[in-house]
Amino acid sequence: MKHMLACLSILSVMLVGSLMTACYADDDPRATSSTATQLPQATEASQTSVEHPTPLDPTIPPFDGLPHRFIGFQGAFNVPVWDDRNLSDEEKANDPWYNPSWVPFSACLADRGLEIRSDPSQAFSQADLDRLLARLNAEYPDPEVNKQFPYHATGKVSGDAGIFFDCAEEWLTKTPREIYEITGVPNLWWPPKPAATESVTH
Amino acid sequence: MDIMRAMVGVGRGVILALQMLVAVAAAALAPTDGSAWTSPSGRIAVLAGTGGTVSTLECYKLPSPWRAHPWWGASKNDPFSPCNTSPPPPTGIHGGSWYGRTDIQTFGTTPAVYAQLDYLPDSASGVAGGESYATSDLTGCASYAAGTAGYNGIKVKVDIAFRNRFGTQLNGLSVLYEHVAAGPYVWPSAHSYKWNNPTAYQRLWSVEDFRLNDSINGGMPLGNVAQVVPPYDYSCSTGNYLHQASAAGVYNYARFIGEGINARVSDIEFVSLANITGDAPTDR
Repeated sequence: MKHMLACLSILSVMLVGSLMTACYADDDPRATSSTATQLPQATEASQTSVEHPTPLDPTIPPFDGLPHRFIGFQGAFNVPVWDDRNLSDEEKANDPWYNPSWVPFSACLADRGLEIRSDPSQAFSQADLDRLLARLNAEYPDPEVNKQFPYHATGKVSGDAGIFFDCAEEWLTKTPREIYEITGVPNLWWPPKPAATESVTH
Repeated sequence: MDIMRAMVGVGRGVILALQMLVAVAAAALAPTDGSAWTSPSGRIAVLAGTGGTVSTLECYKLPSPWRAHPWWGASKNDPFSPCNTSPPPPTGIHGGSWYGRTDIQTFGTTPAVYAQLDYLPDSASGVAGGESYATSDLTGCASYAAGTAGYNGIKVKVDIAFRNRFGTQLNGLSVLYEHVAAGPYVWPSAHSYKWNNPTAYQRLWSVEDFRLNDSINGGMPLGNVAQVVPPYDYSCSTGNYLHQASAAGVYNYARFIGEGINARVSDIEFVSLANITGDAPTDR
């Protein structure tokens, strides 16, 4: 009777949705077992230095294996669009912005045999960069493979991807100021215009 | 004992019925944003990087002649929100590969900016910690020098790797914060920092650089909202505000233009990531 009342009380609680435990007879060995998930025993690997625990799966890249800045977690070749102004395409076409880095970047690509422009005499543009990225993403379509490229890839990767990484790491990571200091050619952003002058127009 | 066994059978039947009710309820709460949930919730959140007032959600418009991001007052019926998000990525003036784009006005002030997440799973199989690094995404609008005409801060891209307690990488996420005067955690090239989930079953690192998933008690400091002074480049920025977005997910549909939000507290973006079963609210 005592056991029946205990079970009834458990059932009543279950019916109001406040407890989700099974009701077992006292002689059922499951009656004494916890309904909580049995936690796995800590492995030897997890008991090593927490600073750099050894991954259990040796194919997992080490802790420095974060994706390349021009790959990202989505696993595709990607470079931020340079002209990020809040303008229409027509307005941008009437007043195009060029990344000062594109001049040495495109020269680097051409020197390595990766000329993407139909007319190399024309200035490298966003359209050329988009075409280059599309070509790379078609040539390297597996995002999981792409995420394995080393973050600092210069000199470590072969093929068109290697050419891109070498030239991009050297030039697309440089600010307009750095490009000016290297080339001596002024650009829209450097040398800077003082703030207390006429409004910037494009 | 026969009565007991009969009651056991009834009890198990009740349990099964309740479980079915929960499953049906979960299906009814499935997201409308196209994301796939692996659990009744399954999402994590990117919290507001700074405190202020929501001024833009998802899309921008160009009311001539100012080109300014619009301020529509305290109304949920913003005609520009949300943008056309189907098919992804969002189209429109600021179309691209970033999602859940939100502007937070700070009205001339320059509060601190943090990358902070919420609803990371804390179980033994959940997120114990990981690494992150913050770089500056080089773009035209973000290349004006501080104190010069057109300056409006830089774009900080934060890449976050999520690992379980054994070090296995579960997934990763990129989050963007724009119009930031960068602090020391932002490097021109990647410098990986260690972070722990302080509420996890077991933390990943014995020594951490910062913590995620702990609201105002942590987060990755990125700097401050940039101080923008005239003359502005109206095609880039019109004042002090933070723009944030994520590489996946959607903005929190409960947010509205003119709403006051709190840094490292308010849910700004919801993201579903494979292998990470968060418990973000279903509709908030």
